[in-house]
Amino acid sequence: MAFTDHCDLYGAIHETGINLIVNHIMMQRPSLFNYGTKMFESNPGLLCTPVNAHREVRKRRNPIMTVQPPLPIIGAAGTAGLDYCFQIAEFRIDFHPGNQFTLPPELNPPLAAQTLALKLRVCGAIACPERSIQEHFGEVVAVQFAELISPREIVAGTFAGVKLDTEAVVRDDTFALLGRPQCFCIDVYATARMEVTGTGNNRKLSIKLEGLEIVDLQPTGLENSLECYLVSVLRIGILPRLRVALQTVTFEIGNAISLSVGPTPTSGFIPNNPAIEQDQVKVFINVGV
Amino acid sequence: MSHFTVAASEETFRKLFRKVRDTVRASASGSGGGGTFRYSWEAGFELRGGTIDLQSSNSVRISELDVVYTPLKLRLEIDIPQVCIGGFCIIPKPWPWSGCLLRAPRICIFSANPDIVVPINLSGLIQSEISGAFRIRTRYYTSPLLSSTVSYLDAEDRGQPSEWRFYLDPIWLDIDPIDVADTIGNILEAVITNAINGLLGWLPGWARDVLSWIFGNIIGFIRRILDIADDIDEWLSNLLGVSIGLLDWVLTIVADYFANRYPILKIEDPYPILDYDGALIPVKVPLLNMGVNVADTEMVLTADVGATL
Repeated sequence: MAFTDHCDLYGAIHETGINLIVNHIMMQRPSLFNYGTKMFESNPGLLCTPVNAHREVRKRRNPIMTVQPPLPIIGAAGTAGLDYCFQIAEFRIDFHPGNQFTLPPELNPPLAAQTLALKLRVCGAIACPERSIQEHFGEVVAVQFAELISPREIVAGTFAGVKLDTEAVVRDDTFALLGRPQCFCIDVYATARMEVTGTGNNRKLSIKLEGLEIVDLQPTGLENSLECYLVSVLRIGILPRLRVALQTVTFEIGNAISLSVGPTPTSGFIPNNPAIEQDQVKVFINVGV
Repeated sequence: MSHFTVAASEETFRKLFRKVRDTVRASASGSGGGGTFRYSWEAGFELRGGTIDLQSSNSVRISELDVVYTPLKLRLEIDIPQVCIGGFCIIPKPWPWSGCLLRAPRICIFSANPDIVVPINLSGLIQSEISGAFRIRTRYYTSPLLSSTVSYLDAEDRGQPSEWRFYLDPIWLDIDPIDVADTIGNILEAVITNAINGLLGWLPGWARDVLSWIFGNIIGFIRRILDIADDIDEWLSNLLGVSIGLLDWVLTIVADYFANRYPILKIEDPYPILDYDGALIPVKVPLLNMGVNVADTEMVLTADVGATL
C-alpha cells in the first residue's frame, strides 16, 4: 500500500527523530533548559544534573544556563535572596504505541490509540544558607528596616556597628546567601491527543491534554495541587494558543504557479488526520493546482 | 523506519506537470537592417501535450512533450531606390516663352516603401518533441574546509557547509528537433482549415464542421502513422535505458555531464532549525540516509536524524 493512496501528499515524523532533535536543541542551546543564579553559573558543578553542552557551545563561550536573580526571601523587601537552579533534564515524546518509557499507573498504561505521551524530568535546588548566615542577615534586615539604608552601604561598611558575614555576597541590589544546594528531581508525565474541531474551512487542530502525573511527590495533597496547577496552566494558558487552523492555504511557486494545500478530509480510508500511530505523527494533504 | 518520510503521489506530479507545461512560454522579437534591406522577427515557444509517469524502475519518464514554436514570424522588407523614366520635354515652347508644351509621360517604379515585403509566418507549424527518463540521485558533499580544527560551524560561517545534493540523472533522452509527424500534421491542418473556411466558405456552418471533423481525424491518423517510428524508438529507449540514435546518445552524455555538476536541490547538513540568536550558536541537526525512491504510484523522500554532531 502506498503512502498516498488516498491523498496527494503525505508526511510523517517518527518519535525517535523528534527526540533526537530535542536532544540536539538541549545540547546546542542549553540556556533554554537550564536556569539558575550567578552562583550556579560560576559553579556549574553544583547544578543538580550536569549540562551536556555541545563542544561548539563551550568553544564559542555560549552560556550553558540562563542567569536568574536570586529567589527573593519573603519579608526581606527584595534585599535578600537565595541561590537556586531549575533544569529540564529530560524531554521525551512517545507516539502510540507506547515504547519509549513506562507511564505511571495513574495514567492508565498502555498508551491509548491515537495518543501521545510526554516525559519531563525537572530538577531543581535551593542553595540553603547555614543558620549563622541566616541569623546574620536577619540582623542586617532588622537594621535596614530601622534605618532605611541600602544593602550596598552595608556591604561597603558605611553603616557603623553592623558587620556583614563574608559568606554573603551581593549581586545588584539583592544579597544571595551562600549555601549548599538541596537538589531534587521529579518526573512529570502527560498524555495528550490531537483533536480536530469545526467543519470545512473552519476546522482547527488542537492538542487535548488527557492526563498529567507528577511521580512520587508527597504528601498527596501537595502533588494533587501542583498537578492541578500545571494542568490549568496547560489547558488554559498554553494549549489554546497552539491551535492550528486547518484551512486550505494557497502559495505561489515562482510567478505563475499557485498551489492550494489543505488537509485531506477524514474518511474510512483516513480516519484520523493527523494520525498518531506506528510511533509516528502522520499528516495527509490534498493539493490543488 | 525512517525518521522523516514525505511522499507525493503520481497524480500530484501530473497536476504540477500540466500546470508548469501550461505556464511555461517565452517570446522575443527584434528588427534590424536599414536602408535597402530591413527585417523584423518574432519568435517564441510554448509547451503542449506530453505526460509524466513515475516508473517502478526508480525513474521518472516524460513522454512526447511538444515544444511548439509560436509565434514564429519573419518579415523581410526590401526598399529599392525609386527609378523614374520619362518626363522629359518633347516639344519645348517657342521663343520668347520658356517651358515645355509637351512632355513625355513620367513613370516611376519602386516608389513604395518598402517595395517588396516577404512575410513568413510559421507560427504553430513547426514543433519539436522531447521525451526522456531520469532518476533523482542524492550525493553527500563534504565541505573541504572541515578538519580537526575547523568545525561544521566554522565551515558554515565561511560559506562552505556540507550538503546533501540532489541531481537529475538522465537515463535516456529522445529529442526530435523537428517533430516530423506533428509538423506535417500542423501544416496539413492549417492548409485544410484555410481551404474549408476560404474556398468552401459558402457552405453552411454545420457542413464545414463535418468536413473539419473528417479531415481532423484523417490528419490525426497521419500524425500517428508518421510517429510510429519515434514511438518505437522511445519505447525501446525506455526498455533498455539507453538513448537510441547518435544525436540522442550525444545529448544524453552532454545532459549527464551537466546534471552531474549542477544539483537541482541542496540541503545544508547539519540542517539549521534555530538561527543564530546574538552570540548563541544556531541549533543544527545532522541529517543521515537521505534518499529518494520512485515507485509506480509515488515518490518518497526519506531522511534520518543523526544522534551526534
